[in-house]
Amino acid sequence: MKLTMVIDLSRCLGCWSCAVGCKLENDEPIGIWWNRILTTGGQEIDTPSGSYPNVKMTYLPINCQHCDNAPCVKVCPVAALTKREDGIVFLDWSRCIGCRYCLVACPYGIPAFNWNPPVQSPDNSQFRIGNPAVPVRPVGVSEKCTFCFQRVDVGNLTPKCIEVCPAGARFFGDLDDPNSQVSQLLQTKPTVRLREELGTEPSVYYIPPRNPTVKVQVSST
Amino acid sequence: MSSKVPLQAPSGSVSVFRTAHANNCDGSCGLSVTVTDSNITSITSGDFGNPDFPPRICLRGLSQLQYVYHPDRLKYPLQSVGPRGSGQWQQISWDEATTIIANKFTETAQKYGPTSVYIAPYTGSLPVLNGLIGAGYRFASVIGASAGDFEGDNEGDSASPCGANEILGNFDGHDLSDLRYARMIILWGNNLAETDIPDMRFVLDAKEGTITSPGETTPNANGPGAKVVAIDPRYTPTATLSDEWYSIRPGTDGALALSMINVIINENLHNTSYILNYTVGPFLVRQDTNLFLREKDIAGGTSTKYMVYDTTSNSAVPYDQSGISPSLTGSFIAKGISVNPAFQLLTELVNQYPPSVAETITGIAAADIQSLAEEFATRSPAAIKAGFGGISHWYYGDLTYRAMITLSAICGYIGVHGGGVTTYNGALLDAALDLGDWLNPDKLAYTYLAPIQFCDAVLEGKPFQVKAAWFPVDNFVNQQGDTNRTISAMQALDFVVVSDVFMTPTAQYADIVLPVATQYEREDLLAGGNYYLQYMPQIIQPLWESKGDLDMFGEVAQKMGKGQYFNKSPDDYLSLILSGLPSGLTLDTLKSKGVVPLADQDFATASFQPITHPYVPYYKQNFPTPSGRIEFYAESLVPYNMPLPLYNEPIEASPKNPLFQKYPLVFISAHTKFRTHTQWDNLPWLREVIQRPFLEINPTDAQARGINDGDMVTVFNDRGSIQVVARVTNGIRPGVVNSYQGHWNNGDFPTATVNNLTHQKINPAQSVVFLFQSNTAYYDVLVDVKKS
Repeated sequence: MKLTMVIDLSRCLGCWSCAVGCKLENDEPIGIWWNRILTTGGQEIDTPSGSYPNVKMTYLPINCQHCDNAPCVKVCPVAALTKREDGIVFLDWSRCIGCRYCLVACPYGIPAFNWNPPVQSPDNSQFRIGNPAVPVRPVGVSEKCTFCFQRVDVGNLTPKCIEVCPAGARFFGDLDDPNSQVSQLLQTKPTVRLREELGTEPSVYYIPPRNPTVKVQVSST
Repeated sequence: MSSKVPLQAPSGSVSVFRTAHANNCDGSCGLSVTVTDSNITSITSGDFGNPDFPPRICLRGLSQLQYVYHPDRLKYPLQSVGPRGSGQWQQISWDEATTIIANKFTETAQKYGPTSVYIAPYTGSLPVLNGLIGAGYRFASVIGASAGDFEGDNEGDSASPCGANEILGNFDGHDLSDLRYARMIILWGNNLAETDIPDMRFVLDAKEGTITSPGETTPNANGPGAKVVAIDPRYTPTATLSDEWYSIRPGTDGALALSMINVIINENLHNTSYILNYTVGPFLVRQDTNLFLREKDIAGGTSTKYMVYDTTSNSAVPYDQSGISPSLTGSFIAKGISVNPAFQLLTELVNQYPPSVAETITGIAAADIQSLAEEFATRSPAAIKAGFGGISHWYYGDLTYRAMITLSAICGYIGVHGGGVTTYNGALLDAALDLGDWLNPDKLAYTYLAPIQFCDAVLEGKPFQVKAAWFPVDNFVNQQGDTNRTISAMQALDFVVVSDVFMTPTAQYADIVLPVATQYEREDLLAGGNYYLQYMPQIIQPLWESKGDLDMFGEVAQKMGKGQYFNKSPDDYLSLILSGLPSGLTLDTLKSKGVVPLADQDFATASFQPITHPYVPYYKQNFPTPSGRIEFYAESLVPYNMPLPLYNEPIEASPKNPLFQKYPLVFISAHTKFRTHTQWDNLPWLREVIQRPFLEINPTDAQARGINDGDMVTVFNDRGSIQVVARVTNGIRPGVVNSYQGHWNNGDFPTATVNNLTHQKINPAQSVVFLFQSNTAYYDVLVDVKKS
């Protein structure tokens, strides 16, 4: 099995539903996002590059790329990070010593470090939210997307971000299965992976976005 | 390094409930809510049982746990113990609170008349028992109070429905999954990808072109894949996903529509047989009265039949006479009366807006207007999805919407799959349900007062005096135009009740504040936003001392001697409401299924015609207008000199306005994905992404004022000001600035409430459609900006 994610940027609304769904499923504390939506454009989110009216803006949802040749796995001194048979880059929080080598090694800026006791909303001193099978992380470890292994391990190949994407822009499945949706997409659509030149062999593929032609009176009165 | 204390494992009591997200974004998502040990612990999308209508949710629905368990929730009834708005409260019991309210309302009604008590349920929550269409109106009816009306009054959302009523006879919309059948989609003043997030999926499906139309056997001549066009002064997420982005000067959409009609008629691309058969195009209009010529006008007698000019007999004849060839153009004399076909008048109107002229008005190049019109007419069918904000938040929004519908109509796109002009879908659900007995028991009825007239009523006694008010599901102070005037009105009232989940900007001006149970804490039904009836079970017990609207209005009603109208169970009232459905759907069936699409016979009764799937209004080309046809020429608007959908410059936001010299920037206040109006403004996950309110301003306008990105700026006009951070961006048209609406004026950014800058100018022409006269022209606003 080779678990693979495909994100169709020509359908991504930049709405953050995948990111908020991830927060909920995985009980991510305030200040930590396993999944974020970058704007490819201006300096802030939802702003374009270029000069009006010739502007461009696309969205790039980014989570752990679950690389086949993962720099984080190589640098982890205690083998807290390992590559599973099914392709998941697995982070064992009970082994993590908080050295943060993985934060430095990851070319995608993915791992987040939980320096402080988690601030949660709703306050989790009463009850815990999300999927109860997700491990509670000790303070002082790195955190990142797990491809929702707690779902995969019970046979559910629909991570939360895939389940809740309102645009139908995210896909997940087994690339070893030629009939899987991800296999079909990779055969029929052009795809790119992030920073492929590094040889990290990510398991996340992106279908490129398109931007509109701008129609405006150029000599504006 | 301290480890987090491991939590107790849940006892294993896990249940999953299907409900609906009944907030006011029009998405009306189904929600699947997981409850563990009596707490909501997870949420995901709920199924609709229809592969063509996939499960839907967005970031707002996924954040709902933070709403339900928010530490700032109102927990007990509160009584103001200082000057109004001083923030000094004491906790009181429900019994005390409801007794005070009942006594004050009774006292006020005795002194000033029952309509001096105003009940203002609004769109904060949409279900039928505890929301917009809910207990508040029933309460207003039984005590004889004044109230707004959910049908039309949607503050800034009335102009488009008003225009739709004038030209089509009602306000209806395609099931948005029908967009998949379009060969062209114009997203007109509509940032669908950010506001009604899940419905953007259908636009993307259309663009990919994998769907064939119902009954279509041969490929469409245009090939698969819709062309998607965004018309917006901002480069929105929606625009980035479109094929073309037309940056338009705000408020000039009507001129663009008229110019497109001009191109289509000039190039003979209009659908003549459709215009002849289904519009008032051939009907003759008298030049002396501007009314339609009737048979009695030239033949005597009493027949009020519309007349057409028959080119075979060269005479004016009744429109339904057989064997005639009605003319759409020309100028004729009928028994001494000069007349023209309505289509001729439309042609003359649009001749004033050739693309070369429209270019100077709209800021879109003439050649682009030309090609847009040609494509719209030839990529059949083409759909228009209009925004409430972009189109309706204008003083002349009704005229704009009429022009857009006229554009669709002359191409024959009304009532066809993949065509039409849609702003909102699901309005018909209200028509199908038996709301009369629910809202007006024993035929008791409240007196209508449009929300935009509230300040006039309080401050000037016009059209009648209001002295006391109750605001349920309504953050009125924050959302009504001209905040300063609204606060003056709140201060001038003798008595104010606000029921809400939080201490909102409106609640802070109350004498009594009542804590409301969220939609997860009481039973209800959502009917709107799409064409499904969604049962909303009580999922958890009301937290703290909160109660639903049905309970709290019932308690006050009982103390006012009207308890008999609130003594039944929620199930009884839901059964009453469902009893209007011809399909005979029972509450038990709805409960067991959770979600039920509106049945064909229910649709048919409400829309007066058989239906098709997905739902398309006017499918049989029947229109509930006076003529039964599409009335792009409307007699009712002759007194306002607007029988045709003419173009007027915005009432304020126009360079032709002398005020423009002082305030040269158009101020719009668009909707962000991180809120639904004022709701969710305090949810931490959504606040993490956008932490500060800001003003979008083009670099050209920023440089002219010495403003850099990140500077604190003051946005001001004669009505007020806001202070926000400048976001200098090329994603907005020069001359236009935007700050997202919905920040609370008693929140962490109290200076960012956009309605400090807006106004309450009422367009009298919109009063011709009863209940649709409450439009607030939020975007029809001029400002200037300076560094703070």
